[in-house]
Amino acid sequence: MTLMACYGVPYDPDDPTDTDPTGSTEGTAGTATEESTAAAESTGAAESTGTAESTGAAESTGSAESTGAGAADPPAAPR
Amino acid sequence: MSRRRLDVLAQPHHPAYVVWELTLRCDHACTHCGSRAAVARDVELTTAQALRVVDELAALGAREVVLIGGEAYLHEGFFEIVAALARAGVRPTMTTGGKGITGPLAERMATAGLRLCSVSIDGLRATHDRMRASHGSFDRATAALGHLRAAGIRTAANTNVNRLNRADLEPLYEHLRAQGIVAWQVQLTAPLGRAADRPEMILQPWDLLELVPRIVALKRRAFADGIRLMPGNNLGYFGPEEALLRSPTEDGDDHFAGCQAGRLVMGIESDGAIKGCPSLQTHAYAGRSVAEAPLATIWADDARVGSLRGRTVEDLWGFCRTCAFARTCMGGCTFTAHSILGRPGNNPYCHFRARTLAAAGRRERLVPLQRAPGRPFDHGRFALVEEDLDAPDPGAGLDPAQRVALGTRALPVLPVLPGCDG
Repeated sequence: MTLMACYGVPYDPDDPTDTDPTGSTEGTAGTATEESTAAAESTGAAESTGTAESTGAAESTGSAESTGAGAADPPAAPR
Repeated sequence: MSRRRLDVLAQPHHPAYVVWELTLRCDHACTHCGSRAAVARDVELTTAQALRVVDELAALGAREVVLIGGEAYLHEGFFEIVAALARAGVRPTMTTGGKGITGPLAERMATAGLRLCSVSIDGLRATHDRMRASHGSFDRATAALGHLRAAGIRTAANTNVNRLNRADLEPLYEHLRAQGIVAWQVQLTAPLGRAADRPEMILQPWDLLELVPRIVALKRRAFADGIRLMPGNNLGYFGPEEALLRSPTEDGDDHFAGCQAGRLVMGIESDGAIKGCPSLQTHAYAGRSVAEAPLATIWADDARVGSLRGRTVEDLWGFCRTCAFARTCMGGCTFTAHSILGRPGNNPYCHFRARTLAAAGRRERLVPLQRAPGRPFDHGRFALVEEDLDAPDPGAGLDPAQRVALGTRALPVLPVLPGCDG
């Protein structure tokens, strides 16, 4: 996830000065993991619209829990 | 790799992203200002104290510091502090109203080491000037973008969205694009500080049903234009376009992963008080001052600074407690939820929530109950009324002057007790 704050500045991924001082390779983190994507797809949550179909999202949470990922495993963002 | 896009679940807590209010002194007195900025606090950090804080931030692994105010450039040590951050390897950036940024000032900012600056522009000329309570503010802010660009500083814009300015969003985007911005942060005006005094200005939760899709459409246009539109942390969550809304790339899969206040985000008030996020309510979340103790000690040990680190779903309540996204979202933006209902964990400003209610023909309406006491980063309290989606809207049809009118004078003041959540 991109760190944001309401008094902060917008995130500019193209800024040539915006590089990780630690040289870490963690930039993709915070995105859906393979596990969560698989869990979401298996329940059809990826097709959830996030409203009346939100039961799909609920199912994806259940699936996430079943993977043992718990809170670290994000539910699928409805598409 | 980036300083701002992190594995927030795997990272040990450290102040990666810091927003630092250098002074509460401001050349604006905006109608929506959460810190009620205009006059400096009675005691503010001196330049010498601030330079020590720069070293402490670097030692704690801070990656980026956003300098704000009030107006940060009104602090006597502004340029020294920018330069010190740059030397320490902490990326200095800035959010400003831009009113006082002239060509020479922008040149000095660039020379000091500022490479990215965001100017707050909240609407077209009439709307912005009304919201900023300053005739000519829009033109000055627009000119500031030009001065900053000419000085070689990448420029961005911040916009607070509310019922006064929401109609301006699309033409405002065109205006900002024409000024050469590289990024645009859009966030909701929460009823914090002066905005808490103006309940007709803030959005009703069901307004997100039409607002979020418009912002998503603008984000698609912005991608095509090479501009990154990013939502503030209090705009979302988990609607059909969450991934597009939250990701910095068109094919991204990002999503909101919970409030990072006190985990990876730090706020510093101009008197040195440390908070987990710059917008958090001072009376409930501000820890000790760096004038009293080392920053590392405050960050590690102060109960208020760390108060949001160990939360679980058990801390949520209302709709958020039972939401399918509860574990991931954790009730969205903390200060926003707190500013509405007096404590975090239940946040009616949520797209998923509004859509879920709308699917059942329902909506939630905020009704002011208690007014804010009138301090920086304070809040009042609202009742949450659930009603039919097509019920009459008592706030419909107001003119712009009515939107910014003080609307809570007749209400009792929210009592504020030290250490109390309000």
